[in-house]
Amino acid sequence: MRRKTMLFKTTITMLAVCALAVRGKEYPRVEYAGGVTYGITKVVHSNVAPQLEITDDTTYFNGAWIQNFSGNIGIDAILSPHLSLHTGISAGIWHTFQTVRSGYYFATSGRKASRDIPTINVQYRFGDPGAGHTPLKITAGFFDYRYESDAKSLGLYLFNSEAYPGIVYAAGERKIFGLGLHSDLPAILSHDVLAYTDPYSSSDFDVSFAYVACLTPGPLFNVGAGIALHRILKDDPDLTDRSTYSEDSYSAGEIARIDSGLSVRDLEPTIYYSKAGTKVMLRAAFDPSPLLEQSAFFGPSDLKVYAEAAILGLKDYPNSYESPSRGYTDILERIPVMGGINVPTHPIVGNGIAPLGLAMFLIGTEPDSVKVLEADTVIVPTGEFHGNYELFDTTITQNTEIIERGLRYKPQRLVVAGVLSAIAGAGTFLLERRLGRELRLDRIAVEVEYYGTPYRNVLLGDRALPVLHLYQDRADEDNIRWAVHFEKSFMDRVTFSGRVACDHLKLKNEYGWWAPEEIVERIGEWYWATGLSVSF
Amino acid sequence: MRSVLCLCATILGATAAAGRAEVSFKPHVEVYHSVLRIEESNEASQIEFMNRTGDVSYYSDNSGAVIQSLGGRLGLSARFGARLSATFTYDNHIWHVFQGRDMPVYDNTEKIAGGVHEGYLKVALGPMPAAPVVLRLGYFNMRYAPEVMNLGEYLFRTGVYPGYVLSGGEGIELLGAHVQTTIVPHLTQDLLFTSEINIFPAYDYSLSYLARVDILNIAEIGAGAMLYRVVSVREENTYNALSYVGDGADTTRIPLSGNKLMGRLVIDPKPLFNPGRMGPEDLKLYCEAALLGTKDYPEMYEDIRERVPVMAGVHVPMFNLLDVLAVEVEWYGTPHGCNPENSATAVPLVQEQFRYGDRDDWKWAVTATREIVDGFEVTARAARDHLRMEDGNGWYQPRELMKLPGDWYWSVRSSIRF
Repeated sequence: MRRKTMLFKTTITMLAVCALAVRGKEYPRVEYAGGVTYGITKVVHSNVAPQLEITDDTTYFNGAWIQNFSGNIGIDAILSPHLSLHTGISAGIWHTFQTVRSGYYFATSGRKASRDIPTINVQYRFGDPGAGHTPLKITAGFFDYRYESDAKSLGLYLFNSEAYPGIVYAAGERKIFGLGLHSDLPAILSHDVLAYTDPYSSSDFDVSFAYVACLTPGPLFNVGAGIALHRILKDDPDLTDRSTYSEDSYSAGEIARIDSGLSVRDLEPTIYYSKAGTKVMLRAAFDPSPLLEQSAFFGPSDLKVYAEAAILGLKDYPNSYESPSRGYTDILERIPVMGGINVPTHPIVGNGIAPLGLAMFLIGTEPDSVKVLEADTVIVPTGEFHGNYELFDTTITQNTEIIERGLRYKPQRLVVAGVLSAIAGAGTFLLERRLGRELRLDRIAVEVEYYGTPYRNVLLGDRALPVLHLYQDRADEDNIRWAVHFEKSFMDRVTFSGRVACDHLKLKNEYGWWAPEEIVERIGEWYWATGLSVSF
Repeated sequence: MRSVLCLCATILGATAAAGRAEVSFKPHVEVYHSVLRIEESNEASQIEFMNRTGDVSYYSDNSGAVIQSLGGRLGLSARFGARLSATFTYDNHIWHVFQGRDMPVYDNTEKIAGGVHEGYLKVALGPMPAAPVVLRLGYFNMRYAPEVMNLGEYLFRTGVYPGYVLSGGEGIELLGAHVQTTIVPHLTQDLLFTSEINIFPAYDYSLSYLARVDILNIAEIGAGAMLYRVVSVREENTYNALSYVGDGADTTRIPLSGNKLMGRLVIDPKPLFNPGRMGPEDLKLYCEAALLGTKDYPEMYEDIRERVPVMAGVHVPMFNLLDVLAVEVEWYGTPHGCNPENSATAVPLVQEQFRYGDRDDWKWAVTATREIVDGFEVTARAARDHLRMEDGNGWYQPRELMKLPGDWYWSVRSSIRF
């Protein structure tokens, strides 16, 4: 909170500095920008429950409706061809997940006001500003950094992840708070060196270093790699390296267990897992647009393919002594991989075939419904442990009816989807020809991720140990995530965008911070989101 | 359908033209300060704290309490040609809750609230410069009765089941779409599709229509209807199981949705005689009534008259000494508490009924405002209205503080705009 206040004061100071610059002159000059955004998210299927203390019932995110409204003002002070200041403020209206039970508590369910600093930084650019390449650009402050511009929902793992535990966040969710050096020399190889802190978690003054390189041998292809020394400089080693939970530790002799009748703890020192670690990333992108320029069928961003993989922590650790089913023994379980492709936006494909394919996928993966005709509650120990606590199956439903869903359930839905897709695709195509204007979407991106961690992608508290699934035998069910993103801009001012996804979406809790749970986790769970933004 | 397509095409055309037009920016700033003193109140504020004995208690006496607020607004408007503009304004201010001796430190100390004050896109359609159709999209201020200085404007500043009422001189901010047309001479029509953002459950959509007729610049007659929460985004919240009344099989579920109606009349007799040195706002007489929920429900909402707030006001002639001196009075005969605090249910708090009876039915307010120099305005008020303290999130704490005869407060607000 203190740092946020400090950031706000700094922002206001920078706004004042910007205001002092004189408009109309080439240098110094002030450039304004702003925008307003309205978004809706609807969770269609979810089995995840929010973190509410509910004793006699559970309300799931299933069917949740979330809205947000925000706006921003950006001010850039261009002080010279080399030096510039960038700052702004943003504010919005948001709510926590609305349930009848939270409605009892006005402070929880009521309207919330957000205020934020979308960016605040100073940039110094060396070299000739008119030249095509930048020998060195220094950025200091709070700023966006993306090494893959096309990733929408998944990927960008080097900065959108933790190491231990290997949590993955939504792409682009996290910004850099620190120092960045960028160079485009030599022309085919760009370099970024970053030193940054993590303003998003409890050990927030730990400093990490990263290096990202991108090789672009030609317009068709580029490949990149990066390494991050995550939390290598520790503000408080006790926070980073030593959890307050004894579970978050292992014994040095665990691997070579001595059959002495004594516990390993009696023989070997206790070592705690550290949240620090080394992350590496490899990515590649193929952009065939130069080959397709002459084709009227393809748009400028069509068929671009991009992929990324990362290792979230190079070092293996033994399993926890007190929670032996948790640890970091297999590096393959710490590798998220994603791939994405921009589907052709031609109306027949983008407005017809793609929506039909999406509808078939969503119907095909629709989870079965369980209709409880008569229920009884029985507590049955499972024999599985979550730390020191044995897990129980607490409800045995008796006399249930399974209603099979999927492609065979109400098959007329497929017919309806097919007809609507055909109308949308052919209609847009014909309308384009009639009007002589392109009405197609600007971009349709399909992204898929595989992340084979056996643990939940949830960061609970200040822990270096991962979180087990409630039913660990179903741990693989959340390994695959996917997202379909589309957008259309009107005259550079108004952008309409949408998303259908099972990705790493989170909601804010009543304190304005992201709640740890993901809203959707498994195949068959998904949400849609749409937004309208005006920029000026 | 054809007219809708034409409207969409015109909007797209305006947007397209905006894309080509040069952008002109206009920053605007406002600094304001307000002080409010409660001279008499028998209502406790909504501050729970653990007293020295460990029991949860309320700060029990608001009489004599003083509240100050100091804030500023920074806005940026962009105009793209003649028809399209966009605005975003950010508000940030320092405020406090009532200061009490036994209150926890975190309640007594300075609080900073900030957020979006307005942010919307505005499109003008039709012949310029006085475009007959104006569309606003986003988060905007809505006032359909600009003569109202405190009480009234019920269509948007009320709830149904339970029917609470808000007051204040700044209108209300709505999120959604607003189309206003003056195509028909002397008739102004407004159509709004707005999303609920203040009261649980959030996000439900409401559809509103208002019309007002100007008669020879002497009278204005207005009416409006609102289908409140006509689109529920999650029916288990809007029609929730907490709102049943009755026993056994004879139960009725009261939804949080409902219909509101409003009618109003403004008379400005100055064109009938030579007003001399009177100001443009002097001698206006106005009144408004609303029905907060057209449908009766057993036990709680059986008498339609208990859901009808009525107000009347007059702008006392001040001959330019003040811009406005408004005296307003309101009667609202609900037997229930006028608070949206138990907002997950349509069943109002029963104890409120016994606590106040009909002693809280009458409200009054005297408001004076004067723009002393260009951009510098001072507004003073003495009132027993629906005063509620802010909650730091752009909305109010639910309980109103002026209840009984004898309760009243005064406030002074000054602002500078440039």
